[in-house]
Amino acid sequence: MAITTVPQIPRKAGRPPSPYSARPQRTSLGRKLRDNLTGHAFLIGAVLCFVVFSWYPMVRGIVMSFQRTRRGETTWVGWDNYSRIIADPSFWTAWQNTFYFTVLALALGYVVPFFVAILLNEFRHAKGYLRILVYLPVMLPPASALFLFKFYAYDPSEAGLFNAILKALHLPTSQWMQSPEMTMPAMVVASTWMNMGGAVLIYLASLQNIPGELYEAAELDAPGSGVGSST
Amino acid sequence: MTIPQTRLILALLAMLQIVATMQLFIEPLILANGAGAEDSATSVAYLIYQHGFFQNDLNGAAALGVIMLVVLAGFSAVYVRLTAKQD
Repeated sequence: MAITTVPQIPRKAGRPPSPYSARPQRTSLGRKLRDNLTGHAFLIGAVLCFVVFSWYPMVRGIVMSFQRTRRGETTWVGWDNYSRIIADPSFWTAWQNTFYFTVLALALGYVVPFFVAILLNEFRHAKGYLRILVYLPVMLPPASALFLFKFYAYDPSEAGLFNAILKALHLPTSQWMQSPEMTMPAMVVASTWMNMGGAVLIYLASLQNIPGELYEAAELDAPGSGVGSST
Repeated sequence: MTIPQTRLILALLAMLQIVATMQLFIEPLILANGAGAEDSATSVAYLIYQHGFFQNDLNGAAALGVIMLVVLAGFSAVYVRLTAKQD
C-alpha cells in the first residue's frame, strides 16, 4: 500500500506568501515576465509565426469581407459581399454537397477506423507491421494519393481497379467520377482511406487504456457473449 | 464494454471529423477537377478558391470564408457544451 501524501500546492518562486493572508499575493506582470525571461524568449518565434501567418490573415479576411477593391481603391460596402455570395446559386449547391460529404464521411470514417482499431487490438503477431500498414496512407502526400485514386482506382474504363473487381464479381461497373451520383461516395472512400490512420491510432491507444479486469468481469457476467472480447 | 470506456474519445473524434471534413477541398480539386459532373463535387472551400482566384472576387471569397468560420464555430460550440455537461 502506497503512502498517501497530501498534494502540495506549487508555490511561485520569489517572496514567500504572508502567513496572515489566506490569498496568495499577486505578482506584477513585469515581475512574471522577468522571472521567466528565457521562456518568453523561446516563445517569440512561435508567436510571431502565429501572428503573421494565422491571426493577422484571419482578421484581415474578416475586414476584407466588408470591403470592395476596384482598381486599387478600397471602399467599405457593408454586407454587400455577403448578399452577393448568398444569391449565387452555387452557394447552396456547395453547402449541400459539403453536408452530404460530411454525413457520408462521418458514417464511414467514424465506424471503419473503430472496427479496424478493435481488429488491430486483437492481433497478437505482426502488430507493428499492421499498424504501419494502416498509417501509411496518412504519410503519403494527399495529392499523390488522390491522383492514384483518380487514374488507377476510379478509371471509368474496365481497366480501373474498382471496375475490374466489380467485373470479376459479375456486378455492373460504374463511371465513378464521371457520374454525378457516384462522385460523392467515391470521394468519401478516397478521403477515408487517406485520413483513417490517425483516428485508428487514437482509438487503439484508448482501447489499450481499458484495464484488462473489465474484460474479465464482462466475461464472468456474460460468458461467451462476446462482450468480453479483446482478451 | 468497449464503447462506454472510450465515450469521450468517440465524442472528441466526432467533432474533429465534422470540422475537418467540412473543409473539404483537395478531393474535389483533384478527383473531380473542381466542380465535378453536374456540379456534384463543388464544396464550400472549393467555391472560396474559385471566387478568389478565378472570378477575381477576393472580397466575396473572404465573405464566404467568414460564413464558413461561423458555421464551424457553431459546431465546435455545440461540442464544448456537450462535453462540459458530461464531467
